[in-house]
Amino acid sequence: MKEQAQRTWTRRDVLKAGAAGAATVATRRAFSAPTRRKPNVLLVITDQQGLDTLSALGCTDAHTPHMDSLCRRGVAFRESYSANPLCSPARSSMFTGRPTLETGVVYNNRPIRSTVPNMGQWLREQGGYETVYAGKWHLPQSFTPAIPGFDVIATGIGGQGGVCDAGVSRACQGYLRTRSASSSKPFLLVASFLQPHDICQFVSMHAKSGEMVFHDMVKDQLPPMPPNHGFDPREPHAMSRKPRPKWTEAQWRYYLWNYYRMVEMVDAEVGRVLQALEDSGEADNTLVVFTADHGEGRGRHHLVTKNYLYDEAAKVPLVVAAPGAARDRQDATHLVSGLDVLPTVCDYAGVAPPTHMHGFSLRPLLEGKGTWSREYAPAEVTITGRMVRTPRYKYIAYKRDPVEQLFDMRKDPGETRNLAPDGSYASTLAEHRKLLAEWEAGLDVAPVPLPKWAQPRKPRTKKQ
Amino acid sequence: MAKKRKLDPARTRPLTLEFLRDLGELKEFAPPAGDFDPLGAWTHTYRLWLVQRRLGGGVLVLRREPAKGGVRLTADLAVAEHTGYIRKAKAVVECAADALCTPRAWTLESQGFDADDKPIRGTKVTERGTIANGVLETRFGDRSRKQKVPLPVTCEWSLLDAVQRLPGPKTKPMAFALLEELDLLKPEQRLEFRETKGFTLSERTLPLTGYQQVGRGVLPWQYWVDAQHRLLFAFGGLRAYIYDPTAAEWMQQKLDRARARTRRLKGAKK
Repeated sequence: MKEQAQRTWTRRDVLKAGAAGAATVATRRAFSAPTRRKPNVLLVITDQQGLDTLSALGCTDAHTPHMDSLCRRGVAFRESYSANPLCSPARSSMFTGRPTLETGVVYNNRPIRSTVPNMGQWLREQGGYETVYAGKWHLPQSFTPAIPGFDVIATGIGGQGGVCDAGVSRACQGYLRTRSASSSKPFLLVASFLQPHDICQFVSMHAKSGEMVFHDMVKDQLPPMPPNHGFDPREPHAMSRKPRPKWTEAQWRYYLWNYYRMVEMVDAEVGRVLQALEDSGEADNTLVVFTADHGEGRGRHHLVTKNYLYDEAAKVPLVVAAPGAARDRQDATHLVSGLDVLPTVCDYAGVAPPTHMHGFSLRPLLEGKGTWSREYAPAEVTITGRMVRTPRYKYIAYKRDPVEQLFDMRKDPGETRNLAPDGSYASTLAEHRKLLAEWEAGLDVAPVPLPKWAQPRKPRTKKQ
Repeated sequence: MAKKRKLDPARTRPLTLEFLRDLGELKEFAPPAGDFDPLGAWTHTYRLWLVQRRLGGGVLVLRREPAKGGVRLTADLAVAEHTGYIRKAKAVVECAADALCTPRAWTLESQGFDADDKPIRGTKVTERGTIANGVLETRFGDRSRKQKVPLPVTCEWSLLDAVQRLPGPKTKPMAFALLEELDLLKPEQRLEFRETKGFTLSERTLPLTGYQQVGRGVLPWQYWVDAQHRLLFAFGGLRAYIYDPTAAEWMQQKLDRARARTRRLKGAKK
């Protein structure tokens, strides 16, 4: 694995790399030259929202009319994976198109490696875009007035989405309404919401007491327990440190009910931004991408929050509404990733993506033209965790951990039966190990100091 | 070994009156004295308390004035974060003199201010709105948009007024749609009586009557009024409004500290 010399990304670098990137892309496939005004880009991000939380995707526990309306305007991907299901890491991949081993953001509160340009820097320099950011960033600070490549509309109140998200949607509304219609530049606007991340507060507030203040009023509305609340205990040792509250069934269902209200809260805020886009008259010429950094446990595998590779944490919504592309379509076939956001945005912006992209433009899938070549979706977690998801199987492994996991996602979408120890799957296991090894061998890994909690330690053993 | 960050006790139990008291957040609370007429003119000031109390807080000033054929409600909301950023929203709402204080026409302004209290460019939103015959019309600049809304409909500030006129245990459950900040539609809300109780605070017992609200797109709310029907406390999920006429000073002190901290950080970066 090679390492690039460390240096800070400058405007000149962006321009130079842009020319190189353009040449690379030109040889790969004919780059679609923009035949009309460049589209604007609206990137909407939520925090801790699992893929199957949208009514349009079959969720019956939450009502998400605004996210659903976006599904009707575009394509919703049902096999969409976060590149690393934790806040900072996932965002670093979304904004750079590179795995977190390359961005250097392998755990929270780290900045993107200085040699890697982000979406704002790239579109501003290469595409002449007006680049504006509102809401959570978390690379490294959650809320900051300074993000490289973006004009930041400070929106504040980090830590509590139920309060701060209104500031984010109002800021976007203000921007879209007051932006000069005669502006010659297209815009890239990022609306980055915090909900339903407040579920983390709910979990800490209820972890020990389990007190359900409003249970009586909502007991007839509680979602059912997930069918995979139980799980195969042959897990990697890293999973033994994950949060698994000792709640009763009623408490689990009450937690789920609260989570889905938070999803509805952010749906309303997303609606405010989408409405403002409509009001601006720019909707028909705007690429809208809606996604999340990671999901939420929701009691599946007895888990809450995130930071592991089961689908409840690793799968995220990815809905793309592009000018001239398919509408009202759900794609349940293709494996897509947070890594694909930047290449897709670049493609529609008529800008060659930065070099070393690990993601692919989704445009062929959105327009039904061209070829799509991803064989598997990779993901990482907690520094040492790796996942390879192929059309049929999911393989999970942690460095220095003898326990591997292999799930047949067709027969066992709830990931309840680990096939790795089953000798009849030895060749499948070997194939997936090989895919992972090949993928890792091609990475330009960033040097990252290991935090204390990530130092290798002995697996816990039961006292005799 | 790195020191493990201690979890703020505010994040260790669900939000209730008793928990707020146990946290010491009601130490300064002084029950208002004197008569109160929920149908008259009044001004209430609330401290906005957040579960993430180290990161922010705010103030809500709510004024009610009987007006010709209805009621005028003015809501002044300021929410500040620990960096000194502040978002202010002001709404002047002409309401019907009905049980839900139904909004009929309003103006709303929302804007962000930085740590130096300067308005942040691009954050100002000004809207005028009306609801008539189940149609919400919103006007901004020279544009407008219309949208159907289910009836009855009200807004969160109207509810803070409305709960003060409910008859306690005789209250019949109310169903309505919520128009949060007068533009986010959240249907299927239900408000009902919760309980009456004596709440002990500084060796004094306050007789309180509680109501609760659940519905789409909101975390459940509890409203607590005193024997005069004055709203003293309202909780919604991870935040609480606490009756506190000194809330503006409290927030100013918090802001001064936040801004001094931000200036220190800026200085350190230079």
